[in-house]
Amino acid sequence: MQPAIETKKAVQTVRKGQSPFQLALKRFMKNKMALVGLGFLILIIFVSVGAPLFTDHDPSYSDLYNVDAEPSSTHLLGTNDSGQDVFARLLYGGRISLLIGFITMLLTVAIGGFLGALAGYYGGWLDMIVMRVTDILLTLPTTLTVLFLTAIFQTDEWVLIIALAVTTWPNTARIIRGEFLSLREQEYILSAKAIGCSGTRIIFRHMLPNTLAPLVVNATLLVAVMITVESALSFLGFGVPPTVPTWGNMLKEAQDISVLTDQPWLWIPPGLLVTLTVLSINFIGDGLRDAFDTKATRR
Amino acid sequence: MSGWILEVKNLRTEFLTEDGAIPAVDGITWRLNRGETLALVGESGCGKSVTSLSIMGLLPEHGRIATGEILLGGKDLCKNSETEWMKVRGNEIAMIFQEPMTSLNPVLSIGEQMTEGLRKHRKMSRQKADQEAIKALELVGFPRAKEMMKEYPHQLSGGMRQRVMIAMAMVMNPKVLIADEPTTALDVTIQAQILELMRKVKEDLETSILLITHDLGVVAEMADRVVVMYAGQIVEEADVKELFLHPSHPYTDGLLKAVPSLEEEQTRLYSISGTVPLMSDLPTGCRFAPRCQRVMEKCLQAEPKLFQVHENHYARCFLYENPFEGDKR
Repeated sequence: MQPAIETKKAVQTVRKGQSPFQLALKRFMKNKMALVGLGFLILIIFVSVGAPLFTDHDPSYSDLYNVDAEPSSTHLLGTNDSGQDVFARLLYGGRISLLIGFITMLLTVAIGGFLGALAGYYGGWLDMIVMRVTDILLTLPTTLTVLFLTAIFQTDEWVLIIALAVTTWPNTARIIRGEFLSLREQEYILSAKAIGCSGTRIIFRHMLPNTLAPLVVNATLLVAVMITVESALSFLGFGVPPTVPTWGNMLKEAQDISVLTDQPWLWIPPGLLVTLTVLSINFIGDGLRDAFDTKATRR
Repeated sequence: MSGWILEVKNLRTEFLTEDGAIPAVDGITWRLNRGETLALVGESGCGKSVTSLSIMGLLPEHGRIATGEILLGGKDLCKNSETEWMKVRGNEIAMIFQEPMTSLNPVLSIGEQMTEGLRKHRKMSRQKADQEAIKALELVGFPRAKEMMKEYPHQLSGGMRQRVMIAMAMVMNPKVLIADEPTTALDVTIQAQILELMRKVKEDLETSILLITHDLGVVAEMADRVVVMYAGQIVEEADVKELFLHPSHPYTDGLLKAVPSLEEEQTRLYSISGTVPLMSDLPTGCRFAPRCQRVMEKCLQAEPKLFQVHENHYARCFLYENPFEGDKR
């Protein structure tokens, strides 16, 4: 065991200047599943963001002479009961679904990471307050809280994003706080203090990069969760307003039994996209976790 | 006394526990001369490391300095605010820790960690700080210092990391360097290199070193003066030669006897019987009395103070109560 590590070290000294993150990236690049997931996700993002390149239809334009059309060369996936082009809605819908997933993740990670870091580093009353707030928020069922919040305020994708972030940051905060509690006892943190670093510098420069591994893994999986939650809420009619195309709103059409049986092109494509996107994000998350986990790969 | 650079006066550091405040360092007084190496010696738990953390203002949350002064160039550090502390740490007093393997941040490059203090305390530009850091790395014996700046701690061995730590401390040209067991975690061959390096650096930069160790070999090699600690107190203080030739306190005597000797054949290594007393449950009288081979009636009743044994040589033992009587020279 010991000699193996030694040889590795020697090899690495030759290739100079490899940060732990570069090494993790290298390991990630060897994970085929994760790469397939990453490729698919990039494809989805590209197709959604560049939607106008792939369809000439306006996703919210209702062609009332042409409702419930079957797939044809003009309407690749037909039209819905309002005469809107399903293929266009699928592409543009990806924008909103992915936006909700990513922005919510960013907000969650920012709030949760920041508060968790402060609580873990300073401890004391600050830790007390943050942890009690997370305790309270964690007792609330997420879906119900989001339903409640979106019911009070008008539904709008930004209200949904904020509602989701408010209810999910406690998990991230706990993860980061836990990491900080153990990092705080590390000798290199004491040594950073002995150099005369300020608290903020120690938190953001010395400690946060050390929590990047769990943070990134958590963030990736959060995107997947948020996309699912968005679809579920929109399906129930409490997410994004029905006029806005999202994958969840498109799935809502399947509530109609005749659509479910007779017009599968209305709901199978968005359903498939949600599943595949979430699956590929989860593969990426797993890949990242394995890449960061040096203990598992150094065996 | 302008020669003294760091003076610890009657320092008492306590830890707050469920049983109340328990002292880890109990009224110690010593001075560190300019360009001198002072060794703080003692068993684990005698308060050596707590003394160093007190000087750095880095005591854990439940620790506090109860009484006493730490004077650096005449200024009492105990009265410092946290911001003032940050200006002292790394800048005027630098510290080297025991565990080189864990004392460097794994995600920051060597260069980043080397230049941190320079950029913070000296407000240097990145290029200037990089130059200084490269010079310091060359000083501690890295020929390819420039490339090393871009490397990460996992690419270095333990001895290399300790040299980086020394370079990191010395790049700031501090008045005082605290070395807390700098060689304990290293191979014997590397130990000698590190000690040699510290001595060289000290001579080059005229830094005063507070060396904390339990290794008497390191003391003999490095120190000018020695303070022996036992159960939070100073039990003996002397110049290094004096101490090794005429150990006066029975505890010091025991420590020296416990060092294996190559000259005489020993079947069994000498050890001081018993263990260090708990600070929460100290014996009455002399703290060393229960383990002392020369214990007297008096030792069990009263606590001895530091008596002068010889010039610049003090021992906390009743054997030396009457001046120079116990001195068998």
